[in-house]
Amino acid sequence: MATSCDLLTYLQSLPSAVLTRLYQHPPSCLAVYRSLSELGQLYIMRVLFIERPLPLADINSWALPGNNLHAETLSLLNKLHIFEPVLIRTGQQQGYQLNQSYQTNLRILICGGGQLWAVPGHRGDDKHSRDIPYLNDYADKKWENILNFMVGGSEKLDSEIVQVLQYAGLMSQASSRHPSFITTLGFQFLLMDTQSQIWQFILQYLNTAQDRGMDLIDCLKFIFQLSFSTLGKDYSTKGLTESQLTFMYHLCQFGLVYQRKSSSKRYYPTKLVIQLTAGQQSRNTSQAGFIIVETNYRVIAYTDSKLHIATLALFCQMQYRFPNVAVGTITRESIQQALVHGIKADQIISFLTQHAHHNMLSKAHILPPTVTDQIKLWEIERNRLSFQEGILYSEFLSVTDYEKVKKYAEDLGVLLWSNRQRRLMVIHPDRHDEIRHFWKRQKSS
Amino acid sequence: MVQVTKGVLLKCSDTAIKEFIRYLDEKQLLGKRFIIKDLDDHHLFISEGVANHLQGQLDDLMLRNSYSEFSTTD
Repeated sequence: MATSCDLLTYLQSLPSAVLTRLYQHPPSCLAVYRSLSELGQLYIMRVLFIERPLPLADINSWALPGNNLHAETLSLLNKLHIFEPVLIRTGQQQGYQLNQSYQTNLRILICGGGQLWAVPGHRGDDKHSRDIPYLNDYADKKWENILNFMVGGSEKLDSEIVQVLQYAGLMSQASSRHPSFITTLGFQFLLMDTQSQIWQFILQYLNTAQDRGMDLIDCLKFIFQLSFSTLGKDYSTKGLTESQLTFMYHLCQFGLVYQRKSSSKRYYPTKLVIQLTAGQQSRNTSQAGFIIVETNYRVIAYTDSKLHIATLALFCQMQYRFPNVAVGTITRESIQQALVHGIKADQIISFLTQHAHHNMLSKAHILPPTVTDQIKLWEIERNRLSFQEGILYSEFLSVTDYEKVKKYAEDLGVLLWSNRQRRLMVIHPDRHDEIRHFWKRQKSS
Repeated sequence: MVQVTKGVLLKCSDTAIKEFIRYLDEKQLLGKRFIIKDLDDHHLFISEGVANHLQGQLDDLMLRNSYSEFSTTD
């Protein structure tokens, strides 16, 4: 669920013009539809074949008054510009209408018709065709390589991949001569499950895409289209725009797409990108858990993967390493170190839960509560101080002056702290100028 | 005349930690005094640019007060 939520949050942040253009592309419409909650999907279905705008009163009658889920869903659909607010002429009622292009495209998707999106294998048989196990292996290797590089493994990567990691905000570099280092976001990234990682990577990448002169909508369309393609089939690069080709080239570097040569006219989507938009059902559960956490803070990881051990070492003090098992201990120091890097206690706990050994899953608490509580306490311990820039106003001559300024600051919503007896207040620095002007006007009048 | 001072509002989650900050200020352990105004039990107004030092001092204090069997500090 978290992953599709991320996509929706991202889409909400886009301007309405971009979304409207995006909805002219059928696969994108379907992808957005699938990532919605069941209630959201139901609401769209209800109005899909209605030509006229629906009065708000009618829509609200779908749920009992005061139902939070209803209000949330409605506001989400509104923010995604799927439901567009309109004024109904008769009686000046407020109402909603389905986005025109979204409506048309979703109808086509359900009833059939329209143009074909992307046809697999229409370039004829590939001499160098790749089967599914090969593609899976290729994708796993590529993705693991990158994660390995991020945790500081020995793997050397093309400078271009490193650059894409920088575009995505996962790595950073002080200058071209210094080696790149992992960012706070990168640390958090390592603890996510693969699907969240891919979404995170793509969204971060898209965030900076426009600055690099790429067309955001083309990239979004391409990723949505890819997510509906078939594993093990080849697709033609014909008809892709300049931005999409650059995007695909970068996806190749990360194992999301396979191309034999960069000049090749066909590409194979891999399992990493397919089903991205299928929501919760596709969550990868086949990967067996390998971590046992004991109540004495000992962590036993039945794995031989360097990546897994390196990830564990982000917040564990590793002690022994055997061919198929590694043992470490969660200590205050190791957790503090992770916290300094910007990793959150919840992320550590969710990582341990996700990869818990199946023997641990049968228990009421997957992880020992003493360990999870202690990790949280260690985090709280660091958050005893909070800092906020501010401006202190002092030495007011009278209570009336003080009250006037305080009221004005409160109305602006920038009052951080105040004390009437001592006639002191702290204001957020953003609106300092406004308050100063207000004060000058007050004095002169 | 209203006096205007730029700085940082520091919120302490408990009074104990606030006393620790005041101690740092009085003994000038950061090299200088940095508290501009003592506001109330949980708030201090301090000068800019010391936030990271304070967090570091707090981490050190917590480290001194904790025991670890793998401790490398002593």
